[in-house]
Amino acid sequence: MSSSELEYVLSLREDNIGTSQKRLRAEIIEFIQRHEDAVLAQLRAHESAVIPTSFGEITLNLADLREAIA
Amino acid sequence: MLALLVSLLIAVYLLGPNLIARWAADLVVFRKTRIESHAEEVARSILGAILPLALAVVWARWTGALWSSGTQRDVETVFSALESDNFFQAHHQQFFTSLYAFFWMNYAILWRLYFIVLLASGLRVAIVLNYNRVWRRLDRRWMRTLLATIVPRISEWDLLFSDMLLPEGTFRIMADVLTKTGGLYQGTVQDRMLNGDGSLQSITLANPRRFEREQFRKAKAEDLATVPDEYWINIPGNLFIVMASDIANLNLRYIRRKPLQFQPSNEEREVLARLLDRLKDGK
Repeated sequence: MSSSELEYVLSLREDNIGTSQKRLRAEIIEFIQRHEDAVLAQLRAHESAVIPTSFGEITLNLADLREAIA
Repeated sequence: MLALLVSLLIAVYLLGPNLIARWAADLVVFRKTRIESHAEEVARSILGAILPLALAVVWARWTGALWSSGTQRDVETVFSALESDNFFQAHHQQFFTSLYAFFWMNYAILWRLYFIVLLASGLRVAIVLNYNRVWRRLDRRWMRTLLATIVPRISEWDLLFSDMLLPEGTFRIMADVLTKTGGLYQGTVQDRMLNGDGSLQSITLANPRRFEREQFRKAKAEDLATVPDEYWINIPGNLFIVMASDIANLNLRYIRRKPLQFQPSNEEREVLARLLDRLKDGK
């Protein structure tokens, strides 16, 4: 892989990170809004909640949630 | 004997530095092996060794270490004696004195040469390990392209599956894999295996799941409101290996391990804060 190709792939991947991140967060927030009671029940029982997304199941820990709004 | 000495000098001056540089590069990236002829390999080694060798010679001359060990006459004596038996017989005593000086002259250059090569290799490894941090500080495209020349002949697959060149923070790589038989799988990329030429051999998925496409199609035909989420079936285990020869196409997505941590918006904060408030209040 030449240096210009490497640079190009890195730029593409950078875009991929930005897009994926945006979409994943939107899916998580949307799920929480739509299923708030179910998420709360999971957090109470296990201190974590499993959020199904198009990326797969994402586990959110209570500590992570607190950290996110800190 | 002369051929033996010349071979030894080529090995220590030209091939040795190249070997060290390759070994250092292999520590941080999966390089593609290229089939080269012997002549190409030697030419590459010579070109790679010229600059550090020139620096080592200048350094040894500048400090006086080179000429304090021996003289040009010592070098001539050693080569002449090894080439001609008659010369060796006539200058027997002088040969061994010059050989001793010749050894120390080479030593004066060689330790500097290997020091420079190790230093340069170490610097290269450090830059590759911190590639993204350096990359982000460079604004201009030509500077980034120039930086990319530091990364050795990296395999394209290693670049895509490795988190080495990802931005700071912990990331995970998610993959959607469509096989040639029509199976659709999804999971976190746990590992990848590459062939010697850098091509992909297999990928290993953690927390894999399979999409029941046929069932989804039937359900969708009956009810247009059917969503695909319910047709993903978890596969037990976290070592799901897909051979590259079975893959039709691959969709890679890079996400943060803690997706909500990175600069949440006000709206996201509000949703999470409400959730945590309800949790605290026990409602």
